[in-house]
Amino acid sequence: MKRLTLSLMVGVTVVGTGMLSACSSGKTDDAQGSANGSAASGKTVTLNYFDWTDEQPYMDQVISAFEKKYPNIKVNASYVPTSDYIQKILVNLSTGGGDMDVFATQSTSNLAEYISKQVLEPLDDLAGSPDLSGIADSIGQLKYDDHIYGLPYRTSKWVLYYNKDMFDKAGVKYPDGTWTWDQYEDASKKLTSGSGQNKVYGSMSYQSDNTWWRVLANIEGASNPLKADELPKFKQALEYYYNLTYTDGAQQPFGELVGNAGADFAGRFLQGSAAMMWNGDWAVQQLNDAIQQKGVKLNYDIAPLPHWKDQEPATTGSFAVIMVNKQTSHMDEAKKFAEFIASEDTAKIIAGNGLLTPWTSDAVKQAYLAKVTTPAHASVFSDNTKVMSQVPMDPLYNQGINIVKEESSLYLLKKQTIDQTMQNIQDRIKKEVK
Amino acid sequence: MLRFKQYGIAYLFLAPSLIGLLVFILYPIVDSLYLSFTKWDGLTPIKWIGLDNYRDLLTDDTFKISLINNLYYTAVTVPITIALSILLALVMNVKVRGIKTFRVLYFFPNITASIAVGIIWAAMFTQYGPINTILRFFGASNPPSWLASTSLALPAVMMVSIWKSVGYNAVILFAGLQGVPRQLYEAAELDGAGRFKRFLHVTLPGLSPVIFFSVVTGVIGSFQVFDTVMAMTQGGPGRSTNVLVYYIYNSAFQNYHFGAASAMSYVLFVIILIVTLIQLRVQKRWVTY
Repeated sequence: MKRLTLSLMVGVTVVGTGMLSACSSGKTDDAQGSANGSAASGKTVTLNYFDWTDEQPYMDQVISAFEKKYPNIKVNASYVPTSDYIQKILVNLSTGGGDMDVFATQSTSNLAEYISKQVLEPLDDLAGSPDLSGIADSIGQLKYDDHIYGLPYRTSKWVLYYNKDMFDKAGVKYPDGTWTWDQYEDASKKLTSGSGQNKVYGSMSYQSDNTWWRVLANIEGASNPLKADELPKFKQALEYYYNLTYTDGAQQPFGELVGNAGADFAGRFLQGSAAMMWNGDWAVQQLNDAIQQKGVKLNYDIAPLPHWKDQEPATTGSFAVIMVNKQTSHMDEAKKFAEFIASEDTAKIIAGNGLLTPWTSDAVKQAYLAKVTTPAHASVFSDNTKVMSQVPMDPLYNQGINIVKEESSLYLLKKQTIDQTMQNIQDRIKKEVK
Repeated sequence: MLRFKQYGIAYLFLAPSLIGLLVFILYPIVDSLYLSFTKWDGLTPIKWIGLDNYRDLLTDDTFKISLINNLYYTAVTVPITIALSILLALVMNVKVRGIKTFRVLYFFPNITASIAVGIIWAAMFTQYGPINTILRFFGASNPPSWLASTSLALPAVMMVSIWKSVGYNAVILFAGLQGVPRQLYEAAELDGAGRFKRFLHVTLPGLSPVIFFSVVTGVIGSFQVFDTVMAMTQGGPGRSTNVLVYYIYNSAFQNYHFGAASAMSYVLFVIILIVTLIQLRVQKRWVTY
């Protein structure tokens, strides 16, 4: 009996400590990281950096370049799965944020949210640094209450993708920088053929609860549905998109796309069931992978986005931003790292991985075009078209765009009229967004 | 002193699970009650606002829509699930070769991850999916695109939920069937009761405690439906398949309205509590032990 009690006690103790150490293990690593840093002033400092997993391939290269340049600063990078990332940052910040010195976000609306919660260090001194003068314009777009709290280091750009074979077959001239959205509509109609399940469409439609149609408003400078004066542009874009589908029959009806997890845009474009689509630069990699690695037959190219009649050509995109936690205990080192991430050196690395940065210098362009050789007109990405920010600096943007999403999907599924839709959006924003 | 020796050691042994209960269950319950009286976005300091969150719910359209959808969902799924489960349990009870395989098969939907189930069913419900192909085969010239319809999306979600939970309830009811005393059937048969009468007057009353269990757990589960909605419709089109837990999730983790979300959780808790209490009351009239 005594032996049983003893062994039970031992068992309980072992399990107990096991649980405790399991709970705290994540913490200790980080704590050690910063302890090492502060203990060795003048020697090596370790920065804790947070990023999402998609960025790991090139950020690992950026970090080793940084550590080479500043041998006494080590960067301990944590890559969090993209879907959990925003919540992870929130948890880090709400628990004092001591274990996080520098972090990134891919949405300027999140940047605005962090600013409004006063967790970021102002980076005005970096913004004026001569090393960053090449992207002064982009930095200026991130101004909030006359201060800069985040530096842009990566960007995206929307262009027009088209299937050359389908254009040749229909005898339609390839799109170029002069196209208006009216011309796009005409071409879409000409490129549509067949019927029923196997119908081929001139233009790509995305699922009804997507808001990709908003790109047509974004290029006119309207990005924030919370601003009543920007809503008419949203309405114009939404109606144009609706007409492409139902009036012209040049896009797949949205009802057919709902619930169809397999029918993503890349798949349908690759299969040749849509001749044109507007999409971001990220689609290049997806299409090229499918063509080069999976042997899909597709002959495509890109062109600048069409523009509205009598308007300047423009495109849209959003910045990924680097920020410094106000509570970091290594402010100087953290700022150095943030500045490095926004610098031209980093831009060359990122461009060399086939992604876009705010930098438009020749060296960065060359690095990009050396990596991205397909499609033929890849240089469209690095040209100097005006880029309108796709996400406004507004912490409440996500709530607003969600309402737009819900209401516009009902319009695109023909459940309510456009006027009703716009009225509902306005009413609900007034009532629900807070 | 003796008391401490007796109980103290007992508590010491209970400590591992007791501490877990306190930290991971009791504390969040109490804390969320507190949060429901506050405004909190997860970062800035918590602000006490009294009953404002609850008052706001009275005029919150999305909450109203979610609640109505949820009541509709419960009213349809629970009775149909129970009725089908009883039928299935009776079928399982038949002694045929290979019946054990069927018992396992019927249980299968229940152990499959609901997100996977939801995605597959969403694909089955598409315009040119298998379900509409079958409908066309039977002459429907223009079958609906289920999940794109504000009136059919929720019934489609209900169908999947029923399909998923019938097997589980059937197994429990099947176990209940084994407990109905055989001599009652014999006595009824001697008195000249036919198959249907035996089912009505022997089987059903004998099963009533198990049916009661299924109803109570079914109602609670139906008020907490989330994963099927998440995987199949994300609350859409519009807000037509928004349900309470899905809305709570969105409020808390998309919009960072933790206070409002906590308040909704407590409203949901009270609804479930009341419905369960009513059921406990009413059961005296129809459940025979």
